[in-house]
Amino acid sequence: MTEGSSIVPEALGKGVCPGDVLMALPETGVVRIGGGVQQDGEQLVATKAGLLQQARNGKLWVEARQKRYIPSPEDVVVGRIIDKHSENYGVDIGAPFRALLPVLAFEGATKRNRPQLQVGDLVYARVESAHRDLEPVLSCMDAAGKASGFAHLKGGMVFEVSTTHARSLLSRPPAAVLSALGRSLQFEMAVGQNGRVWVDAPSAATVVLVANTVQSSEFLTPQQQEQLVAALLKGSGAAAVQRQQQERQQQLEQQQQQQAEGKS
Amino acid sequence: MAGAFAALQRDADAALSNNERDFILKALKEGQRIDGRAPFELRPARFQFALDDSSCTVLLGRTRVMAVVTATLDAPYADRHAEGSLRFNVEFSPMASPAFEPGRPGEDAIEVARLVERGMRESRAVDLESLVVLAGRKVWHLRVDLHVLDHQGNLIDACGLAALAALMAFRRPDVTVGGGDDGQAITVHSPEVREPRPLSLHHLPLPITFALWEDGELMVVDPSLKEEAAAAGRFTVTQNAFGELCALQKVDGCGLTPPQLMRCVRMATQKVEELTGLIRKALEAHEVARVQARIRRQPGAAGPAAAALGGAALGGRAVTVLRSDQLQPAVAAAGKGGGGAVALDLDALPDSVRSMLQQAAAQPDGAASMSEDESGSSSSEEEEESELEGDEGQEGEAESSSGAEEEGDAAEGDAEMQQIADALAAAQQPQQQQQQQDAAAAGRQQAAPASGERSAKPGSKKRRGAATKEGLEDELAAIADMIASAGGAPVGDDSGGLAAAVKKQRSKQSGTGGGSRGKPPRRS
Repeated sequence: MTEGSSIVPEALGKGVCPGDVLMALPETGVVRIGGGVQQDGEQLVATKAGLLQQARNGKLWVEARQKRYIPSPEDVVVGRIIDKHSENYGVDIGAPFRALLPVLAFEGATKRNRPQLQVGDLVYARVESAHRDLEPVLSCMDAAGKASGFAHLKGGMVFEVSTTHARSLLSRPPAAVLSALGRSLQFEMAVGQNGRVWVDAPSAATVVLVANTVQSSEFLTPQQQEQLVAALLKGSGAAAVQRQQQERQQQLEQQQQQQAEGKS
Repeated sequence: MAGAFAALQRDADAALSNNERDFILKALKEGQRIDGRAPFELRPARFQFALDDSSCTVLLGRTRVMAVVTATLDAPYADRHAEGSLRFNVEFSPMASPAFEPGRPGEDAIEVARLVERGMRESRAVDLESLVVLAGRKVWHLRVDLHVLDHQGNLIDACGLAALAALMAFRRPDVTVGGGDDGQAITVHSPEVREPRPLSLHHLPLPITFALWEDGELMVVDPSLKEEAAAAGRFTVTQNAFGELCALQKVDGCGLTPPQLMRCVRMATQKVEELTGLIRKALEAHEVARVQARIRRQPGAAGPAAAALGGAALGGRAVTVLRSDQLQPAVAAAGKGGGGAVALDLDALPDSVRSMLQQAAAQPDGAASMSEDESGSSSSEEEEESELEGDEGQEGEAESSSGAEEEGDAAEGDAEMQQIADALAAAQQPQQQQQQQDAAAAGRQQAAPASGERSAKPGSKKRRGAATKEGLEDELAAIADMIASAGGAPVGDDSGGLAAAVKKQRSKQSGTGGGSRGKPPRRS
């Protein structure tokens, strides 16, 4: 019995082109495949150009840089409401179809207690079902019925990146650009796997800085991302303001310590 | 409190979330734009010109527009006998934005076309009277097609820029009237035969668009796609670099008070100056590229050496340096080979050789000088003219700041003629010297330093045999000067001996040769 995860194709981590044979199917066992890989008789063949990846459960898929989002269940997305109906909202998530978000798919929502969402509002939601011929269905609750971060996004700014870059922003450990920014700036961010990223911060300058940095960092190595962030922070007012705030806080703490020592 | 006017309802609006709309306004109140620009900062503009002068592609940030100019010769419009015509057509390509559908231009496309047209036509930027070939019978009809290839905001400015740049770069075929049955037959010359002519532009109008919020209190220049979608109003000013207003456009959306309007107009003047400067620079670089492209197309062109001269052509010829004892066989070989040019230390030549050279040069189609056929010689004329235009490009750098801006581009046509005349006069000497060198062409090709020197002089190229009869003494003087200046640099691989030999010969007449720049040599 062979499990998918124990079979490692040669081309793992390398670039493949459509038509490349990835591996021969084993005689028995289960092989899980994802996007960009297809079964062709007794072989697995790539159908997209990109890097061959393998998930922890052995799923083989090809990662290609693309902007068009193809929804799949359990993805998290940032959507924009474009329609309001009695039973559900029509949501634009950048997919080939408009998605549906049931009005009751919010924690604590009942027919009497509906969420107050307007056309043009942003929501952070989870794709519940995404058959390729039907409209995807979203939910603002996790499987257990809790909100766990899914909600109406208020304020802030949203910008677009490719789906690949969005996935790297969501990975653990986080992308270098995010950790570098997070060290010096305070901001809130919601990354959708559909390539949309929402950012909010106390000052507009910080939001603009974060948005532009994340957008420009897609093709940089982690070291380059650090350098980019360092260069931008040097010249920007947003970081200066935050540094001043941090310094003031430190001074306050020091004073308090001294007072405490002085007393004792 | 939002303004009394509803937000603009255009397709792009539907794609903007409330968060973005609110954030753009909030950031603007702090003087911040979402792409990090200052409120009155333009996106970087880049220009690409086609080598056949028919089109220009402009990149304003990521907005990309291509303008194509075509000219057809036809009867004039009934109500405008003595004028050509100028038409603009704008197409929003579906690849530019998901909001664009293929097919006939929609409202937005027509608005852009009308605005660009108003700015150029009603302000008489293009001299339509100069487009007349036969009054009342044949005039040039110009058509500018603007293709929007990528929509990232501010299509009006990008289209206006592209249209102007394309018209400035455009060259229409040269036309002669005469001959034929009634003496009025029109011959349109192809670009290979006669250098095409630029259009005559009186001034250079450009549109500058402002996006407005808060009843005109907040405004930005060159809005990006999201800013345009979030804007409460939009206002376009078309001006030229002298501050003359050519057109204004204000349609729906929030209004403007008169002081705010004047503020926009003043800001637009600065921006138009900036952009006009950029166009001029791009055109100058394009001139150089045009001439280089022509050099490479000529037969016998020495690729890298000639191409490295940056526009001041040698007529596609490389330069060879010979010792005087190699001269006799070289002159003999010139009749057969042709293809290289020779730089001669004529002062060191025996008189007999010099007179032989003069004879050879005196023959119009003699030995190797014009060893080409008609196409070659006509191409030489063309090169000469393109040369001159290249010169104008160089001289134009100095002149444009003074001359063009004082007289305005109305005088461009006259200025060009003047420059052509000057350049011709100045270039006479080197041209004839080139002529001479062709007469004694040899097989070997070296080149950079000597040719480098000559590139500093305007237009050293071949001319027709008719020029050789004038002032041969001056030619020889010029050649001597040139050798003297070129001899200082090492000449090439196997020429260590050559350079030494040339220097040795020159040092023999150091008294006269060294100081003889500009003065005729001793007469024989």
